[in-house]
Amino acid sequence: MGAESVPRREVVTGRPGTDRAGLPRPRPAVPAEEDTAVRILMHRQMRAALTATVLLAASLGLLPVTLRLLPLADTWPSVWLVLGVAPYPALLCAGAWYVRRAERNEGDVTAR
Amino acid sequence: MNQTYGIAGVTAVVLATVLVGALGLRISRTTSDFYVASRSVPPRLNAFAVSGEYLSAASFLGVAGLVLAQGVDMLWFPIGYTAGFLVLLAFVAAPLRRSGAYTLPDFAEARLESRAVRRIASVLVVGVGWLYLLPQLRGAGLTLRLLTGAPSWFGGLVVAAVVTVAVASGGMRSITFVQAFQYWLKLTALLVPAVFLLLTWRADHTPAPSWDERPVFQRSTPVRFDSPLTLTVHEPVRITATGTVDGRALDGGPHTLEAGSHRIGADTTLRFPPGARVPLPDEGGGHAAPSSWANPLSAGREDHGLYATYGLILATFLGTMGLPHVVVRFYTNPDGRAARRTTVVVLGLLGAFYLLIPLYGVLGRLYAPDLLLTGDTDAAVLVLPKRLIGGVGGDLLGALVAGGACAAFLSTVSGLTMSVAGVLAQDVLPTLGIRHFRLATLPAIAVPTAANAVVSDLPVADAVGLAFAVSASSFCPLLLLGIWWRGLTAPGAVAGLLLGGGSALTAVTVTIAGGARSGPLHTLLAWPAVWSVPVGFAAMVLISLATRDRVPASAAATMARLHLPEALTGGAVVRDAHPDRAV
Repeated sequence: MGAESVPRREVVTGRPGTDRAGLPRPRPAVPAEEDTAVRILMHRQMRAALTATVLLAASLGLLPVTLRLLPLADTWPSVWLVLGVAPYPALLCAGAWYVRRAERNEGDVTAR
Repeated sequence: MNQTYGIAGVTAVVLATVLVGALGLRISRTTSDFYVASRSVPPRLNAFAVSGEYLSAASFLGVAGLVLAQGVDMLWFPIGYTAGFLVLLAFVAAPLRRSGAYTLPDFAEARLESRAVRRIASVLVVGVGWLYLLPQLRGAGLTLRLLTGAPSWFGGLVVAAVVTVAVASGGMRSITFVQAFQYWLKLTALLVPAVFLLLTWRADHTPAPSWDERPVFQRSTPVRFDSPLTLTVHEPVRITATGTVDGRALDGGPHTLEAGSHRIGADTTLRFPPGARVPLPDEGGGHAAPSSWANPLSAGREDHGLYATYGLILATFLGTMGLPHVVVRFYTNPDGRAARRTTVVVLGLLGAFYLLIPLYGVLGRLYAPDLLLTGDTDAAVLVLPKRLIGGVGGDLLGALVAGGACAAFLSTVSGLTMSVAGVLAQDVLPTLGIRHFRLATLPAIAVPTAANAVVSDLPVADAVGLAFAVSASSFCPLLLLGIWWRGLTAPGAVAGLLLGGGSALTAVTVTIAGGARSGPLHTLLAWPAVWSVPVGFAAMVLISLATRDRVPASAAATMARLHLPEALTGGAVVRDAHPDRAV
């Protein structure tokens, strides 16, 4: 766009050559020690991910039923604040918490 | 809306996009290496870019229109669009970046070492991309129609042509700077008018909107009918009319609409007095009937409302991770950790944007209820500034909003077209060869453009919901199980993709083609995620368990690469896997 001197940008949709896997072949074998470390890390990361998402999914997921059952659903503007404002800070907090937790988990592995 | 201002707004956005694009090229060139730099985009900048590409016409125009028509329940759309990124962050972001995969088919093949899985994933990527493009083109058509008076299909065609030329010539390569710029443009285009709209609303003694009864015209409002329409009036109302009413030609004089049915001719303008109830168009009253009344959520809000809400929640929460244009952007992060940080910032950016949306929906219900009558509810955001503020200020704010809408569909359409064309060129039409990427741009956008001309009565945000449903039923199981479960096998993945994604795609196609118009079957097909996501997961798990001997030999090594920080796995090797790919 514009400046002619800029090297032309190529649209590349894959790797050239015969290997179309798009990825380097992984190393064939993983030492048992490393494999154990991976399993432990995966377990911890999974727990962090589930904590962040399940808590939020449970609270958000129950909202439709709650709003249907409570008379709150008809009052202006409370329901608008519950659905229009509240979820976003909550999502951001859950995300920030998860990132800190996940990086700490990874730090533990790196430190070993 | 004053056409000159609106056209000026759109033109300014296009020019600014080109300018920032050129600037971005220059900056990337003066920093270290042009190509390597593209894989070291700092998390914050990349987050701007992800948000810029993600906030589409459905977010910018569609949600406010749905809120106007149906009320607070529609806020589940933006909640889901945002929460999808939390799920993406928690389960997918870092491992996907560490896999080095550029597209979902790349990931599928690398993880499962199977060309078959790759091919099916490719077909699904194209399907999801097309479904997502459809409403974007619709939003484009609507915006350009309001600005210039051109028919909707024509506007979609113009945008398709512009994007095709831009993408094929490499000019609209998804440059990080352009997308980042467009996020801020979109936010500004909603934020600045919102301040003035709020002030006007306050000056008007903050009337509360109501969705329980038919809305009332707050002010004397002219309503223009481009095509003939039959509407039902429940109480007599005195209007002034220019055009044809019940076969009688009127030229601006007062006229009383008695209770009952009235036939409004084409090119007629009715001016309703303040306090009059908004009449409703008759069901099945020709092609001008408002789309929103025929859409899934409203069809049975009482009977199937909860089901539809949960269908929406599942589809958006789990579908975001499978959107092709989102996945590509994660590749530009330097490493997995940066991918996570990018996603958190995205959560904040999307939240800031979506906080403004309900405001437009509520004010639209109050001050633009006539959109219910003409069926253009998606236009609420576009017409409000001019309606409430008026004068040159209103025109300028209207131009700003039009520019923002233009940025919304341009960024998403070009990003999606790139992704779909890439997959088409590489996987679906391999005989064309990779060099024929430019040729693949044509079918990538021609198909949704044609579909857009044929399927005219689908609300923007609903069609996006369908794309999310397909993605949630196919790519979500593939990514979650592929990243977190060693036992996933190629046959399992094939079964899950085919059963989950296939059934959702079928349901969606039937819905769009108008297979089932109403009733429980319609609701079931229009919100497939509730059943198709479990089907996808169950098929993947069960078939994988049945074919346990087919677990890829490299599973353990792949898991190590996906989950260990780059420092431990020689991440530099992975990072440089695609020295040829500039993003």
